Amino acid sequence: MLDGLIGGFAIALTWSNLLYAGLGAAMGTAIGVLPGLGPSATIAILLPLTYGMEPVSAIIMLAGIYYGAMYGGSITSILLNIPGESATVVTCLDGYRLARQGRAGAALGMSAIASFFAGTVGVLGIALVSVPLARFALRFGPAEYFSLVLLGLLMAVYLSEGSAVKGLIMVGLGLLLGAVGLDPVLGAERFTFGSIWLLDGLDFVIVAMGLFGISEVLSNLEKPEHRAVLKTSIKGVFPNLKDWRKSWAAIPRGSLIGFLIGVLPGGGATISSFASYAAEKAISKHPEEFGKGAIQGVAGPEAANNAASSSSFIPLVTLGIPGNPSTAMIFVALMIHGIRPGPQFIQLHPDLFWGLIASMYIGNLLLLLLNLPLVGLWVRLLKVPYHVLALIIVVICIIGAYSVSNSVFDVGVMVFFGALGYLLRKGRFPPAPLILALILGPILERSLQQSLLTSGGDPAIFVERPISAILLAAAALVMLVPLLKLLLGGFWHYVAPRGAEETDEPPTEPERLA
Amino acid sequence: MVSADRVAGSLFFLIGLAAAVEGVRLDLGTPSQPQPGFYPFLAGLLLMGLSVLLIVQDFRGRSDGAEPFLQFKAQLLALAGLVGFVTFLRPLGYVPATAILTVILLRVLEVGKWWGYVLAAVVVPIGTYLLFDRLLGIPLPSGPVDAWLAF
Repeated sequence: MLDGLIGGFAIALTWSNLLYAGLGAAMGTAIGVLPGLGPSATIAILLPLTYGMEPVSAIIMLAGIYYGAMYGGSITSILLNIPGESATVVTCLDGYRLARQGRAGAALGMSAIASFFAGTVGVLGIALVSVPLARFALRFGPAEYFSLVLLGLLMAVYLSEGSAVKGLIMVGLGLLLGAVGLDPVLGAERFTFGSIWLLDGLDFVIVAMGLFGISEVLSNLEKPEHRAVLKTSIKGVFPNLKDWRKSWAAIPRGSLIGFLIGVLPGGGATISSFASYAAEKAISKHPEEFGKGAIQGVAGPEAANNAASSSSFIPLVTLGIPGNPSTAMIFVALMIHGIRPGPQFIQLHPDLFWGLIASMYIGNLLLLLLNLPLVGLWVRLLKVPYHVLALIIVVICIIGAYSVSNSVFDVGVMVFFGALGYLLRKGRFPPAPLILALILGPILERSLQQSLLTSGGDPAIFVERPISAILLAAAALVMLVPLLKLLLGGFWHYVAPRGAEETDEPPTEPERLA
Repeated sequence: MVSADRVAGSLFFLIGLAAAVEGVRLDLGTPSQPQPGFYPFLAGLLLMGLSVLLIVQDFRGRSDGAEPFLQFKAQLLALAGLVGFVTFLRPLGYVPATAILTVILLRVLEVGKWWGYVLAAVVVPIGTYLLFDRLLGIPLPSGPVDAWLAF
């Protein structure tokens, strides 16, 4: 492992790869800081830029973008009380309070330091866990993959906020959209409506740009401009001694919670940040401080969501199953470069794997070094008028969609999914399960067909093979939770993520921008 | 007013039904010899079942409903602009089509000054064309104006 890691650093520390990591982190932060644009949207928008690169550099840059976008989201949460995506909802609770108390600098600094620590833990964890896990996963046959994908999809629904039925409907829709094109086994045309453009299926990147990018602009058009950056001068981004005393234990705790949750299929940054917040509140001797500007309420969740973003790479590189939309985007980037993630990924592409790990660490370090001094610059970016940003997002999405295969049809597909995504948002249908099902659908279909072929059509194969049975049992357990949710009805509202959002009173007349 | 979840549920039910029918048309095969229609058929059934569940939930008042529309005009206009853009991108070429889209989007976003429109309509398309097509080598659809610009 040590050899691999050293080799990885040798790759990541070349000038060009350092440049890509830094560029990715900076661009990721710049776009992630824009309200409403979370990591998934940021990666979707910037992905086409990496098409022409070497695979190693492309992945390194994308990892940088991912981290940068996560950090950018925290800035928006702390200064604007608008979470870039659900993962930073928790950061709003205490981060925004701290900012209103004039301590935005400390909150931003603590968030960066906690993220860096967690990133370090995450990278070490990936290095330790991936190789044995990949070896174990070599035993997986189609039946195991089928059960695993099923579990991942159900977890994604369970972990996304809002109605479980709506999440499951998005899975169903995603599975159908994933079936568009030639079927993977016999090559028959499905749902192409006679169009040659649909023969290759729907391009994941284009759908993602529509669902996350264009639809974001459309929904912002509806609301009057309500962005108000706290007019606070950020003096000193270093937390003081008292902050440290409160947070020093929260950071490793959050990192551990985040890492464990991030490994789960479908698991991600959101639920881990909530779990860390809940844990800190439960442990604290002064739980009443939470929600009023407790710095450990920023440190713990920020560590957790960063550790989870690192560890969510584990199912991707060992099993070939992306667990959330962001890693799905990286999955696609690998496929574009002709690399198929899966149990053999580490063996076949050790330079890519170790280079990625090393550059994730370097990306974290760069973020810490860049962002503490550059916080002022990111804050200024928040003051760019929305119409300029909207225009830039739309134009970049158009160019990105067109560049995938030089086709105007693709731009049309993106616009269609932009409109669809907007309507789905209005109907409170979560987009993450759809996008995951779209990418996992073909894997699910192939593994289902292969399993049935080997068993002679007997579905018992899924429960007769032990690993598959365990995965299915876990899936059943996950299914039971929404059922309980349904039965308990109102009670869940107090514990579910959305409940936390609602209890936070809206900001009262923050000072407008000059 | 008709509940949004019932409308959405019915639409998704129809999509599921269409997929299942298409699955049958494509040939289901048997579980031991699945044919191309097998998987879409199952996914279609799943979507139908879930849609029914959503509608039932809604009737029982257990659904979280939809957010109300605050206004339609801006989003529809922007969408119309985008659809028009896609239609005219090939015949007009990137620069003119983007110039028109820029003006429409700025109009939707209600930004004042006329010179702002002119400036944006010149700077945005030509700037991005030079950056992406010329500098980064991402070929953009070329029309008469672009050919003239391509020096």
